[in-house]
Amino acid sequence: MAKKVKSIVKMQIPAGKASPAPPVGPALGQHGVNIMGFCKEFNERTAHQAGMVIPVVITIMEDRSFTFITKTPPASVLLKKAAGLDKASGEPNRNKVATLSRDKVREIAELKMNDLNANDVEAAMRMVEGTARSMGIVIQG
Amino acid sequence: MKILEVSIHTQQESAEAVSAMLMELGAGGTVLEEAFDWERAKREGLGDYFPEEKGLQAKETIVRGYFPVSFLGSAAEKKLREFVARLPFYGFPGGTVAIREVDDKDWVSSWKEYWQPTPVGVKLVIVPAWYGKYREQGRRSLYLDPGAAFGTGTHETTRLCLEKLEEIRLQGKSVTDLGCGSGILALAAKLLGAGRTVGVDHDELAVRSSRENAARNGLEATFFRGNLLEEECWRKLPQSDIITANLTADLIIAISHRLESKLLPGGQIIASGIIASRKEETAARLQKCGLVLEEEKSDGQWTALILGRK
Repeated sequence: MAKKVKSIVKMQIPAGKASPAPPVGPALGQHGVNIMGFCKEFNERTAHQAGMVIPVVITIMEDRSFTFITKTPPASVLLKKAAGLDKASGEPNRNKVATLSRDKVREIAELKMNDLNANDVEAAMRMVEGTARSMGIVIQG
Repeated sequence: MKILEVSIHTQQESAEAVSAMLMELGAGGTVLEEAFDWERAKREGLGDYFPEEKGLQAKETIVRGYFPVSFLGSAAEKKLREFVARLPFYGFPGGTVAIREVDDKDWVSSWKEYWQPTPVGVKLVIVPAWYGKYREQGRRSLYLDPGAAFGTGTHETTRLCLEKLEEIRLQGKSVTDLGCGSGILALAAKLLGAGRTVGVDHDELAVRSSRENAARNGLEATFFRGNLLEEECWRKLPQSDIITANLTADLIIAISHRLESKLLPGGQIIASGIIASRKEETAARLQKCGLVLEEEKSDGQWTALILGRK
């Protein structure tokens, strides 16, 4: 049977922690999607990634049924992990909290390239570097 | 209740950084609205037919997060505005912040208006409680108000259990429902002729919802609150002919060693809520605990295992 798409919703949600509260509630409720059904499935699929933020793309069909795919964690989460940070800098312009090598940035950029819609690794690296700077992480090398 | 919807209008390259900052500041998640690349979606197999393009230009992105009203004028709001103003400094396209008050609706209920009577298997039809009287030839109507509890019969995991319950000759058999949610499985069993029926859930709301649904259908079943990971809960549970466990793979594995002792000779366990990738592991574990795998039912990426005693 052909799948007729009504809408596609992109979200970033902490693994295992989807609930009917915003943003999930308003984002899916307006399309008539069974919110508890989504939460249960998302939490089940991501339980093993606790502590990570998971980008999710939900495809909502005309009959209000849905499917979703999860993507690699956002660059910010991978950067925090690489730098051993719990929290990014709340004031990235004043307060630098870690230093990472350019090789590490390349590694993350390669991992994220597909999801970032970047044309080449250099473009993906520029995005990851920007994200790092915006978190108070200094890039060296 | 009012909440704040904080939207940052920017370009795709900045989206991840903005989303990360919103979550640092306390948003429980973010929504990314963008001009969707339907060609790519088609390539990725997300669907066959897609809607007309909506208003956003290519690469344009709106990142949204939700905050309590107290966010206005707080240090967090100041940090966010500073951050967005500095986006170009980090090498990103700039952005603008828009904040508006919105109603925090009862999102768990908002989708209800789309919900219609749902036939299940060959004997049942699940009718939303707010729908009014509904009859379908050859089927028995089960009226349900799922409230915040899981179990509307529209999810594969629940449907697999219901279809199996329909196949079993339930007349007079005792039933235990582990993780009863809305009470749908226990009450469906009862409607199909089951004898003494008990349901347990760790969520008080689910227990209440189950009791209300029982009363709504004029069915007699006992529901109580209990944590399946605690000894006390298992002491309270009787032995039964049929045990339904529409849980998760993790929870089924965690309670696998307790199931056999609660199953009467000749009885069956319906273990559902198992995602395809965990099926083998869950089945192996249950078989190590004195149970025999009799049947496997699948729908999409979900599996239900039917087991008996050795």
